Amino acid sequence: MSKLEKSLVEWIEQGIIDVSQADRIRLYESQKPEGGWSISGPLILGVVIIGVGIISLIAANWRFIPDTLKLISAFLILASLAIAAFRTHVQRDSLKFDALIIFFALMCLATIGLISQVFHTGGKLEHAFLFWCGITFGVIFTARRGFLPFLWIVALTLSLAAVSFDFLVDLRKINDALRYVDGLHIVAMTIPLLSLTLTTGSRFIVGESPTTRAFQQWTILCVVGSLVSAQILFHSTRNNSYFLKAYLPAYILFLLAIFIIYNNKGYKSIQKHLYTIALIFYFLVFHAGFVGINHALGIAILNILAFMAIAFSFASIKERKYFQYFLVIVGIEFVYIYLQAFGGLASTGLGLVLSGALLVWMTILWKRNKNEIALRIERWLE
Amino acid sequence: MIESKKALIVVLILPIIALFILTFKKQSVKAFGHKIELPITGYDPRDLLAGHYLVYRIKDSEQLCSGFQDSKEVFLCLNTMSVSDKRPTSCKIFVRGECFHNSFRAPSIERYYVPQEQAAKLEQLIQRGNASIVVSVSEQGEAVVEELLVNGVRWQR
Repeated sequence: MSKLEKSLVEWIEQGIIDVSQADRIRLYESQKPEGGWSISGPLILGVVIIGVGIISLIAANWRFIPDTLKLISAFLILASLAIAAFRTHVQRDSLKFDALIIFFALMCLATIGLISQVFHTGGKLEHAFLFWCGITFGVIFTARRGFLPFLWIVALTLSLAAVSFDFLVDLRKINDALRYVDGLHIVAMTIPLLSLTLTTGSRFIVGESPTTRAFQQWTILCVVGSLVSAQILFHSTRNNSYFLKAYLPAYILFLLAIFIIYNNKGYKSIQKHLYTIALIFYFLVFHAGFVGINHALGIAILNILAFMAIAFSFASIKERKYFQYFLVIVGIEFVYIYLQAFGGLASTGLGLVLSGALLVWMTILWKRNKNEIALRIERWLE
Repeated sequence: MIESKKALIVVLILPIIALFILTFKKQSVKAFGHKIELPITGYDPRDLLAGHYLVYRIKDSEQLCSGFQDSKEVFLCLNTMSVSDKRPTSCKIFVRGECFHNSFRAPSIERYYVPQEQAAKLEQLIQRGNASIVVSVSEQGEAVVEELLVNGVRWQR
């Protein structure tokens, strides 16, 4: 018996719904597009494996096939996939359509590899990925599911991170004071801002689509990763030098993100203010040394404030799952602060017992009251 | 999310056109460019996505960039083997590149794809200085590698 069916039987027994309501729910659910990860997951995985296999085959040097034939075949496959995708779109078969556009996008990447091989072109891998991101920018907005947009934004941000780091290394030749670790610090700060700008831009232009949600998921991962890296790198970057040219892209993206958020009529005032506060705390973490915060505890507190602002931002749009994730991260940061503040004790058994007990107590408290806490915060923010 | 049929056609056609233009540009340089043979020295890194390729440098390209900053775009005149930061007007064949630690680098012609089983042997021959590349160069200094020669003969032989 499926999960839905079990729930319906239980609700009927409890008198929450009657039999006719249960039938209407069954009918409604059966008419939804088929999918869920049990079907689309293996299908997408199969398509990705095929795509990677094609890329590998191309990379294996088909020296026995003339270059012209290889190129013509690649373009014919691309054209066929494009036509097939268009036809499944017209027929409204969303699962097949998604599989085909993923295949199409990966085939574009395979063709870039083929052209590189046929003409022995040089250049770095990140340049190839950036070119791929450029030509498939429109394709990601046709996706019904978030897999392709997620893959796209990961490729874009990581490629730009690689290019940015190369640029900063070149900048270092002009200013020796800019260290490699400073470069990492700046890239870690800037890339999540790029992802955030793309997310807010996507939300502004196309609304809550699978693409926007995929961008949002990657932004969240980037933000958490970058704030954690700022904490880890803190000791190395404490006396970092300020070089405006290196920080400028981050400032531009920050202003762009704020501009888009404030011009999006879909956000309430409280949401706009919360996003701005979260961004300011985020910025402060990466400029801690310049504002006189020179202690690991200070960074951890700034991180907590940033994570809490982000958590409340999600609560204001009733994204309870993300609100809870960020509160968990805040809890872990509190444990870190405790260990920092009582460093001597932490090395003893008593300190470990106390910190473990604190974590257990917070977890139980949260489990018992999370829904009520979330609901109160959502109402307060309305 | 794009729902319109016209928009869908446009986003599906654009990548194909972009890739076709890229192919056409490279093929044009290969077909109509000036052919020149350049001796090379090098090594062989590996890359999963790009297959197996040889990476090398144009022989005697070290010190060509003395006095130029790293990553600066420069032009190598292949007739005189001299570098300038401006497009040479009197040079018949020149290649665009950049400077790196006083060496001239032309990323567009410093890579050649070979079958995996041949890579080690070819690498040794290049290291010994027995190899050269035939390059096709356009009027604008864009270059495409046509062939890898070992002892003056195509590597496949």
